[in-house]
Amino acid sequence: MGGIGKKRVKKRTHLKADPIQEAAIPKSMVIRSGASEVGRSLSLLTRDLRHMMEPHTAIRLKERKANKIKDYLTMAGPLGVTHLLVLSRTDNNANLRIIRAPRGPSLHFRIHEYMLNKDVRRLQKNPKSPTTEFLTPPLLVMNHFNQNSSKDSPHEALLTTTFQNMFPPISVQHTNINSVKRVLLLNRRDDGYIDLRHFIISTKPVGISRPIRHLLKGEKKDSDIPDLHNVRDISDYVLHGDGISGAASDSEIEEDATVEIDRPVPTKTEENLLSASQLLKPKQQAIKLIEIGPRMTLELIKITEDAMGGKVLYHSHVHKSKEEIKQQDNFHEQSRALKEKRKKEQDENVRRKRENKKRRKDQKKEGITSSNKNDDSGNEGSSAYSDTE
Amino acid sequence: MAKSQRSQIKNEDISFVSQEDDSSKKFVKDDSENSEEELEDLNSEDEFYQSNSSEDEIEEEVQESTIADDIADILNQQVTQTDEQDTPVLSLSKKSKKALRKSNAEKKDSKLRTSRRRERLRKEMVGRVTSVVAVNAETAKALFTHERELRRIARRGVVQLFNAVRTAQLQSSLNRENISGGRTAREQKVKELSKASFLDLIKSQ
Repeated sequence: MGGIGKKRVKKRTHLKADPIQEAAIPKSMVIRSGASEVGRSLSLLTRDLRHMMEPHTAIRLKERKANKIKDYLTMAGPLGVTHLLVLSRTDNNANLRIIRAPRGPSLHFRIHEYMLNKDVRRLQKNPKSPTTEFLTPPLLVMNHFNQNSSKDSPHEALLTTTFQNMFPPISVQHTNINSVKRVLLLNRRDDGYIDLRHFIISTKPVGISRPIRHLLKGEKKDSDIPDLHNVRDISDYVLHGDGISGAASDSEIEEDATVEIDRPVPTKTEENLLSASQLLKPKQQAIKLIEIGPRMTLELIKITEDAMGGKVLYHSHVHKSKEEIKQQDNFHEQSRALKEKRKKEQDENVRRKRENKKRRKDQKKEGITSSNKNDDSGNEGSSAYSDTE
Repeated sequence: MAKSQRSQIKNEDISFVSQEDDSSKKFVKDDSENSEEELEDLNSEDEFYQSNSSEDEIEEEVQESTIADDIADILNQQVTQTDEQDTPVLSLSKKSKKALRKSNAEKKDSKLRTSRRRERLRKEMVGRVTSVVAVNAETAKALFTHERELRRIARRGVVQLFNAVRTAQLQSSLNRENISGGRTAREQKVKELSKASFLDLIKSQ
């Protein structure tokens, strides 16, 4: 029963996280550039984005005005952070930058429009506050994004790959469908803008009419039993519902929104009502999406090779001819060569200074030995004087 | 006892007599005083009449002089008022002038502060949409259609993925029974099969 002094660990219940799998999960940080200088609205958007990126993000990260992007990039390695989402603002634009840590590339977006979570909540008649939905990562749905890299637009594949790699991949074997609680939609419009929407997934049983659903709901909770004192016959209630004469409600489930899900353990009522074959048949569930925000409309402006600066791979406004591109390549090549040359020189200087220091230390040791000899001669003189006395 | 009674009787008689004397004396004095006063009054009345007449004359003289001065002052004031176009009371009051200047300065400062704050908020809120307000019916319809389309795309994606995952898991459970070999090798083969079939499912859908 475990070693002496060790805490008891249940191997099958408390599963250890596989370090290899843990390292493969992408982690992110959502950062405000200049901390509180971006203003209150973007600070709230930062908080909403952190909730969206949960659970593999730093929720309670506190920036300081003195922090630079370089600080975060330096710490990204030890912490295992793979993506930085940096929010910044000028007088006319709000900007979002997605940096692949630690070496790049970096995608620069302009936030054309955005709505916060509380703005989206205000639009809805029955808003929902998520709680446990943030414990699992969202499902990523991308529409009109180009997978293949083409000669005309090589940046689109990079864009697609960057978004896909921000979230952990779905394991076909081990994914429990019920654990997928959220969906993140990225829709590319014809004019190039990217719409970002964030929904909660909720499922409801299908094939059951509303009156019967209300009755089944009352089975679990006494207070939910509908009021039937005006109903003369149960068939009237089942066929026509409570007061509404067969009018279809606007929340009727559409045809293509149903999903088959393994039936959970049947309740006693189901055991009594359904036959054995019906119990084994999978249950149909309807998918319903509830928006929780934030909403964003992004426009891709620039892609650079490095995390900060570097070669510009794509720019939506500035277009360069082949000669200009070649010139730019030469410039970057020369910059790299100059940097390497300087680094080599610095290394040489460091080595030389180290050798000089060692040599000076050796000389000091020789000096110490000579001074010891002088001391010995002094002692001999004193002893001779005492002998004469 | 008899002696004390006699002394008391004597005292009473004495006091009674003294009272009568006093009252009689007073009456006499009063009469004399009244007569004297009447004489004095007569004399004084004459004097008062003389003084009243003299005072009246003096008052008339004074009134004449004051009226002239007042008229002159009024005329002068009118002239000054028309020239300066300010009421003399307010123009000479330093306190009210200072207060007025101070309130003007405060008002200007407040207006400047408000405009500066509004400008800062406008810059901070760049790009933010707080509520969807449609100007006309067509705009409202377009916005609503766009949002519904986005929701439909998301739902279709979710449905496809759920169905694909479920089908893949079913197939893998079926395949697991048929594959031979050890437990580890079996798991590896099942993984490979499921991955390939999963990708095929997604592509087909």
